[in-house]
Amino acid sequence: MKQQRMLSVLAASVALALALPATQAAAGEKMAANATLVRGNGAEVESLDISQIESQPAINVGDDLYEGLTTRDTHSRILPGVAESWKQTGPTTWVFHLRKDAKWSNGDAITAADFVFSWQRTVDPKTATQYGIFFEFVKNGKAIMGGKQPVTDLGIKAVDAHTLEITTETPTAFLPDMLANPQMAPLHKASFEKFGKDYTKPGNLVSNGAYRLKEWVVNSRLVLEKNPYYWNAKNVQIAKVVYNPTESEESVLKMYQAGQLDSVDRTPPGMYQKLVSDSPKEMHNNRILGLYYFSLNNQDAVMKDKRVRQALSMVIDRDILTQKVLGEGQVPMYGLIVPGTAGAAVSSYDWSKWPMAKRVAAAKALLAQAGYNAGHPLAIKLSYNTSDLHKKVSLFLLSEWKSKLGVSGSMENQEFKVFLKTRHDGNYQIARNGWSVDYNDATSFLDLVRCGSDQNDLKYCNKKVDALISQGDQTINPAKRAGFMTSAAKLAMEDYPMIPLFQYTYPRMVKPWVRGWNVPNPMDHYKTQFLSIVQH
Amino acid sequence: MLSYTLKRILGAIPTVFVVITVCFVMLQLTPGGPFDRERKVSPEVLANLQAKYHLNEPVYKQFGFYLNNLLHGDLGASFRYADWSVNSLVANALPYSLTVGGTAMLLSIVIGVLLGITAALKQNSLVDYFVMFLGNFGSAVPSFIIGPVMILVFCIWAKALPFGEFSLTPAYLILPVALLTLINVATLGRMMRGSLIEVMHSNFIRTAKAKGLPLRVIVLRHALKPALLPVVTVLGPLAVSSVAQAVVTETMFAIPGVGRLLVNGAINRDYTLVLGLVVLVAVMTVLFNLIVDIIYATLDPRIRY
Amino acid sequence: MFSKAKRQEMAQNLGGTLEAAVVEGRSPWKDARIRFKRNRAAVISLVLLALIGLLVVVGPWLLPNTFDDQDWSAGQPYGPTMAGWHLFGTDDQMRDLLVRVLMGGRITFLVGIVGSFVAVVIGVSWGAIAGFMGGKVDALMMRFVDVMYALPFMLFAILLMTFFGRDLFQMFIALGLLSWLDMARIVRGQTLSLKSKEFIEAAHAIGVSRLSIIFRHIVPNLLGVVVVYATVTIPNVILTESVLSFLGLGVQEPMTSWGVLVENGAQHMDVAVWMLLFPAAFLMVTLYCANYVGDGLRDALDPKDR
Repeated sequence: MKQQRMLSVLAASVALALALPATQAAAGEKMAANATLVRGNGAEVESLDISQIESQPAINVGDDLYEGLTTRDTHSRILPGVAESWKQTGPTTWVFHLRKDAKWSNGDAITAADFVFSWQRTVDPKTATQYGIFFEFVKNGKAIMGGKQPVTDLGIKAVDAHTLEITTETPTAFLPDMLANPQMAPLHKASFEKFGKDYTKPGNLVSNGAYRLKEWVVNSRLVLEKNPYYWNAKNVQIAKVVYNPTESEESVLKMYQAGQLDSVDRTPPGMYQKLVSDSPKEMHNNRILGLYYFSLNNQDAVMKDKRVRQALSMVIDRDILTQKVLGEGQVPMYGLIVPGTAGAAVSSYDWSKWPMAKRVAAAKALLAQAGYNAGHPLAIKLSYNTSDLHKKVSLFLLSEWKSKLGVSGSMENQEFKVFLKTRHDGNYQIARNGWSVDYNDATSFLDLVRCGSDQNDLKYCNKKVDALISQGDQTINPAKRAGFMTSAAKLAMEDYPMIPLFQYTYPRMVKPWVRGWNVPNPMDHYKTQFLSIVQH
Repeated sequence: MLSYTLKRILGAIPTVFVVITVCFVMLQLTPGGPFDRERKVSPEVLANLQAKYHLNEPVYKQFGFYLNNLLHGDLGASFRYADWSVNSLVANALPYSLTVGGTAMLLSIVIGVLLGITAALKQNSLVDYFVMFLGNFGSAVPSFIIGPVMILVFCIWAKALPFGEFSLTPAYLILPVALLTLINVATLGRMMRGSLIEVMHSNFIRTAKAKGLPLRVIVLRHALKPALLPVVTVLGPLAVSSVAQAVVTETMFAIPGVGRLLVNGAINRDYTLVLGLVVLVAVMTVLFNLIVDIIYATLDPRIRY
Repeated sequence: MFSKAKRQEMAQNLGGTLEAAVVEGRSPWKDARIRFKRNRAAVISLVLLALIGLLVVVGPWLLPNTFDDQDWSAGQPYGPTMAGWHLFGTDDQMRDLLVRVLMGGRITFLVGIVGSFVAVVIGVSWGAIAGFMGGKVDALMMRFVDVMYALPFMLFAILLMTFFGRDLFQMFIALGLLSWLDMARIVRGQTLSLKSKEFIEAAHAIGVSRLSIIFRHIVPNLLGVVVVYATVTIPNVILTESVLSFLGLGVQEPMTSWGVLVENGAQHMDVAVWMLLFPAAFLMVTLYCANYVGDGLRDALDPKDR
């Protein structure tokens, strides 16, 4: 019981920190009145239906339109959202108290039933959500999506109009973090039932976030205006947000330079250093919870030899890769868990500190033991999907292997979906891969190495690793849990199932009068309500 | 002519049907489906999605389902853009593509024919070489170079034109229309030059010359019509590619048109969207070629249908 | 490609009408040569093309650098320098750009020639047969062309790759298959108007077989248009190749082509403009030359020009 009290999060203190208005103006500057923010969004959103939101562009818009029980600021801190406080009442049960002044964009009050309705609708097999990951943690979520149980069995109950009880499958310490995502937001039952599948259209959509939908023309623009009924509307400074769906990174940057966009979500590859030196104040390079790695097919005839996998991983000079080949501030990685991830410590290989000559010598010895030498050199094939970044990294790997180990390699690029199929089906030897977390917890990364996990393209399986993960899953004490997860990640990486290369960064450009971006934001959500614009 | 036109339009129905069938089969065979993501979806989620889009039914049933909807004028719901029907996506994109592509077509016909005539009449002179240098620019320099340089010069350095959210206003139309025109002129100008030179060497023109008719009259009254024949032949395909397949131009200038939809559709394996656009392209091809053939028949009285 | 006798026969047909026989003492080929030489731009272009071709073939053997070795010890990508024979500088991957441009030229020359040749052969045969046969055959053949127009190119390329694998030969076939449609339409159109000409009807009357009318009497009279349009096809084929590479069909890194180099250069033009300028200059000069040579060839093959 003592443990549980320690665990319970009393949100009141957090609420105080949040109440600060979003003013980020320096002395002598004034906030702009009636400000409009034009955001380069990278692509057209696939949907504004919370059960279908899946891609980054749609999440960006969803973050402005919808608010869950919790919310996430630009520091990736979890703050009270529709819920003003919450408490973990048991290993797998949580109670959320909704604020009484929370309203929909048409003025209706938000009640606990709206959440229950929303979640039950999303997990309903008939709804066919594109993105069920979060709901797999809610009790019975996976079974309901599989059509095995009725939606009413979902682990969410309205105790009264302003109290929700949520039950999870396993002790889920990161539940408040998960609840900040737009997919977990409430749904306005009356408008949904009135308009059916057209409920997300401008004029029909009733949402509960800081903004509401004003206009939406596919591939052209998506306009949001401030939601006057939003409970924290007094702290929302930007009056209007325009999302621009242009895909071409080159064109987006030119629009920014031509003064038509206030922000660029991703700068084109190779441009980072020039942009930093040209306009250092406008460049913000955000390090995210994402790992760039190469998958090794652990059941491939050649790659199933651990010595080969280890040798290939050892000789890659990640410093040259990140500093010279890519040069966008990426952090070299020698393990599964990237810095900043909750729920496990970062681990790295001992040899990462060795001088390169020693690493090469050790790798050569490993290859020799595996039966490869000058007369019988190792030959490998590397696959990647067409993109400048992946091409650069692939070429660099091949060059490292060729020059340091005498490995003869070939590479083939594929169209994205063809590549995904190849990799998911395991029809590869070495393949480009990357992972960024959906929720801030080590288990998201551990999914990559768990036996039979959907995300395990490596065909790797170590029962001991799985045992450690499930032990961790059942542990409530955060420190002990992190201990299990850290050992699981470490143990897995000692098998060399993959070649970790670096932690992702997202270089962004934002006009100097937009404030609130330039902070470390590992989850990479930028809700417009936490940004502001000064007079310019 | 009317009965011919009707016959051709009726004859187009089997063409469109074949196009749909072939494209349907192609989509089925293409590796990677609409729900393949970097993050693999769980089997439960995949099963639900497939059921929603009828992908769990036998292929012939899916095909029948699609055809039935098509007969009712419904191109179905988009796989990718879940909130929109293909009908509304196409209806939204078409005006942009028609305006940009159509304007460019008209301009390039006028400019291409004029350049071709100038070069042909001054064959093998510096004027000829210079005119063809201009005319061929659009084919010798790839559009993905011309476009960005145009934007850089006019929108960023000179700040003479805006570059942001595209709209159907002259300021936004100038550059994409210019780019498409450059590309098309390269084809039309060269075709025109070649065929006019050939016509100018034929016997009936020699006779006209011998009669002492002024060059202007010879060209306008006698040579132009037959010389336009091969040029007219490429107008159909050129119009289709300018309107419905101007992918590079639409991507570069962020035009919310048909070409961009088609590429996004193919990338996302958005089956219904791709099929819908393919139907559109097929109908356009048939329509434009029909118009061309009718023009052709009026230009060349020897051709009968 | 053709036997000597056949070539002579074809050359005679170039004359098309009876006029050919009237001119004495000059073979039609000589005539053609003279007409070609009258087009000075075409002559200069032909010489330039030959020089570029030679450079591309011989250059990589003479230069000390390779097209695929990366040298990261030298720091960041740099522009043209005399040092180490990096006359064009390096690309973003620290590889010598000069050798890459020359190696890419080999592929691009091959692609341009073979790809357009396949397109011309298919397009001309298809169009001539359809136009000459007329009626149901024509309708069927041209509707086939319409169908091909409408099919999305990207899926087509992906499917070709999936079912036939990826190599250079596949790519040539794919390129040819993707670019013959316009040619077929043009040739058909021209055939329709030639069909009713006197000499064709004469050939009919004396009982020449249909196939030989098509290929001996009609096609030679179309060569002007065909040559002009073939040179329109070349840039298309060359740029389509870079799209195919994008889709994974055809040239794979570290091998390259001008289309791929230029596209990569366009991406880096703000930071390394030489990566765009050198390959683009080669591509541009080559395409212009091909166009002028095409015009010259058209003049030379013009059956009516004497």
